[in-house]
Amino acid sequence: MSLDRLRPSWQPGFLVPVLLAAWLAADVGLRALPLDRVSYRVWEALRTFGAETPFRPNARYDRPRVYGNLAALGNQPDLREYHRVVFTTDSLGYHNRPDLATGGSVSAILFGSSFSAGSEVSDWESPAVQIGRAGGREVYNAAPSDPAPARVRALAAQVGMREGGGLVIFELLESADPPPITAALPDPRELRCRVILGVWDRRYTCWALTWVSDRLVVSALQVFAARLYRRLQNDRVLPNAAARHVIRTRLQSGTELLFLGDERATYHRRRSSEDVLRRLTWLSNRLALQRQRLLVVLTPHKYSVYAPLLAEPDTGLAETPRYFAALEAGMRARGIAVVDLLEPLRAAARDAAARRGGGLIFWRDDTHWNAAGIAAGARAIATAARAAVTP
Amino acid sequence: MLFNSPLFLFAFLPVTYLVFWRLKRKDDRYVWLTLTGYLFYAAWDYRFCALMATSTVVAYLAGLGLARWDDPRVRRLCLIAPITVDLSLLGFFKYANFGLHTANSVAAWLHVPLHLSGPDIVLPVGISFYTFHTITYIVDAYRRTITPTRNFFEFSCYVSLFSQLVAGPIVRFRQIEQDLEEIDQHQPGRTWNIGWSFFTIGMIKKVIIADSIAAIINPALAGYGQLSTAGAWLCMLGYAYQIYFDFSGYSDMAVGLGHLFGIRIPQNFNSPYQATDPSDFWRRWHISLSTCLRDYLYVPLGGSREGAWHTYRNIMITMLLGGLWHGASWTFVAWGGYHGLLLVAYRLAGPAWDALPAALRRAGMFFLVLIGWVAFRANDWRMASGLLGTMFSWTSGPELAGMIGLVLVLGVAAVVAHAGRNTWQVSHQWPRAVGVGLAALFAVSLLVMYAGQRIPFLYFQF
Repeated sequence: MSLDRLRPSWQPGFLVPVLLAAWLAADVGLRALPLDRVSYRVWEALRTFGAETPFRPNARYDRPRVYGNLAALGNQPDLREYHRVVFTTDSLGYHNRPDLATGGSVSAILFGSSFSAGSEVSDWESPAVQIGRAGGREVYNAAPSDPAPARVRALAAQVGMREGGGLVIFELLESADPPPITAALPDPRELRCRVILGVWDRRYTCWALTWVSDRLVVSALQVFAARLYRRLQNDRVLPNAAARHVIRTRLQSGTELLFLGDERATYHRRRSSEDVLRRLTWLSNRLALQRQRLLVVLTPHKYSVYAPLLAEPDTGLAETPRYFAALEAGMRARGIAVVDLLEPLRAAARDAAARRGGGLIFWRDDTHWNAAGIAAGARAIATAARAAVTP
Repeated sequence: MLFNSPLFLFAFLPVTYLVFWRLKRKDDRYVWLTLTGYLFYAAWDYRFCALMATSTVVAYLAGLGLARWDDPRVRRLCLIAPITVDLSLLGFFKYANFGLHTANSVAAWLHVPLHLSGPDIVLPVGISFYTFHTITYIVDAYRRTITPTRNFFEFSCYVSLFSQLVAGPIVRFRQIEQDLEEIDQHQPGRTWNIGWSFFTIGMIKKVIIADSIAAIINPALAGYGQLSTAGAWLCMLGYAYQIYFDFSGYSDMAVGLGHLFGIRIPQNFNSPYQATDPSDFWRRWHISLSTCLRDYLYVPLGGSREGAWHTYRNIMITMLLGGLWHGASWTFVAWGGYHGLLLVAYRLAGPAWDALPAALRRAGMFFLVLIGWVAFRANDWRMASGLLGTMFSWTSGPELAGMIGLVLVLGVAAVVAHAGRNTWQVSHQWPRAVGVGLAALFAVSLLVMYAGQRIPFLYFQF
């Protein structure tokens, strides 16, 4: 055996290989840890990528001290806004109360981004719940996913949304694209695996392969190491290299908060609405064939909402309001129901900031809206939804 | 694939090692090391494996020709043709765009309407190193310093040996010929401890010292226009230690890996910042390159045999080309020229310099080397002149982010570089406390590596 000289000693020739073996064992072992033990928020803990469901089905995440993605991304621990999140998923892997998928009482399905999924809020504060509360109807939360016609049809059948009059609410985030013009859905990972394995597939082979590949990509040891290293990146011991990803600034009310740097760039970027309108028109027509009505919700980034309230005024050209106005006008001209959340959210942000203590409608340390922001958005969406389903 | 990456440490190295020692026949081991070398190289860009294979085949055939024929004209053909192929490949991939860019700049300066544009060429990693491996082999075979091998796999194993493939040292065939010939007689574990000791120290030098410095000075140098005088000096001091610990760390790791496979790779650094004069510095810094330049360029040019002026000319040519070898940029040429001038000046004023106290000569030499690193580190002339201007004037500016860390690491680096023994001056039989300390620092290196802080070795770009 080639390692026969590996006898215990205090030399690197023994200590380092043993250390490497122990390290590898620890890495592999820790990969079996549930992800919610190592993640700082629900998104990383429950999200499944490329799988049939967006989140792990029938899961419950309950953590008392989660914090925002911007504090993590920009390594700004002093601006973390710790809060409790209770996040429950149903049997289809969406953020809903478990009985909703089988209750048959759903009259609308909400599609969209992580904003709609309610990634940073608890079950009772999610957009679907708040829209339902404001509109007096059950809204099924199918975010994060887009309303591809095949997906809408399958989901509507599964959750028992009544035929005809079913409303599809599509929250279109400022930087997102509508679904492509295609009837086909991408195959989920497990199905692709079965196709590749063909006759070699056994009942649990692909399930096991996807489980292993999930574990391979997330190393708890890497997460711990990165957190430890980031503690040193405090601009005193080491430069905070991550700080460039986020903007740390104040509102006129004095409240300090974080923004994603890319969101400011998007706010100033000139965009064409043509392709988006083309795709949405196709989508609306396809859904109409399925006797479903589309309501598009134009959702601005945090930066676009707060730009007029910054202590240091943003003097660049504000392109987002123009882009949203063009989209809204284009959709109305094509008979697509639409609601633009930019002004309702800006008004809510102004009101909240004017209150004593300077309230916020987005998390201070995150790109997403908080319960107050969702409530403001939900009111506008519920009103638009009522108008959309009124003949 | 970096030596300081999980893929290398937990998959490539163990598999390569275990299979190597399972194989008993000489050819099997050559083939295995060749295969793993190509796999290691393909991890960067598999397309360039063909380039290395071409260079290998051409040099191997040249070696066969030189072994077979005695006719001087044929032998000269066997020398010139393959070297032309090698240098053409190197010239195209490394210097073509540089040449076009220079031609355009000169034309613009002369107000000549010339706009040459070349293809978008990707520099194959390590091409400067394996080109030198094959050229030194051909020249040594021509000079009959070595007997060219008839075993193709022995030769391909020499060229593609993963430990020294992409960033050196530039190992000449004759330096490891005996180890390659006796590759089937090596005993596993004979140099196991010394190999791991070298590798561990190299990893610590690279990850803990060089990369920590890089993490602090790179962002600062990216905005060099905002640096204060103190900041500029600290950055360049940091770069001096970064490049030394980065490259000597890589060399130590390469030597350590060589030992694990029974191949003794020669020394590449001998405490260069303890040098007392320019000649001494080049006997200690990147030894494998400086000896190659001496034996394959300076001496054939005439060396110091033809009088003072010819000697100065030969020194300048050698150092200018040595600078250009490092990269396709005039700043590298300037760096080489600067060191050439230092060598010439030392030849002129050597006795006066040597009369100074040793400590003063060491400090003075380090200062001169430090100034040279400005051109080496700068991306262009503007940056070089900007940095020098800031260093030699009084400019205020914000404090560097990570100042505490920089001062701490520079302190450790300075003690090791200026007063410590290097990896070739120790026995590698460590007392218990040192052994445990090295293992602990290796664990810290793993932690940094796992934190995602993996900075490529500086010499990969050359």
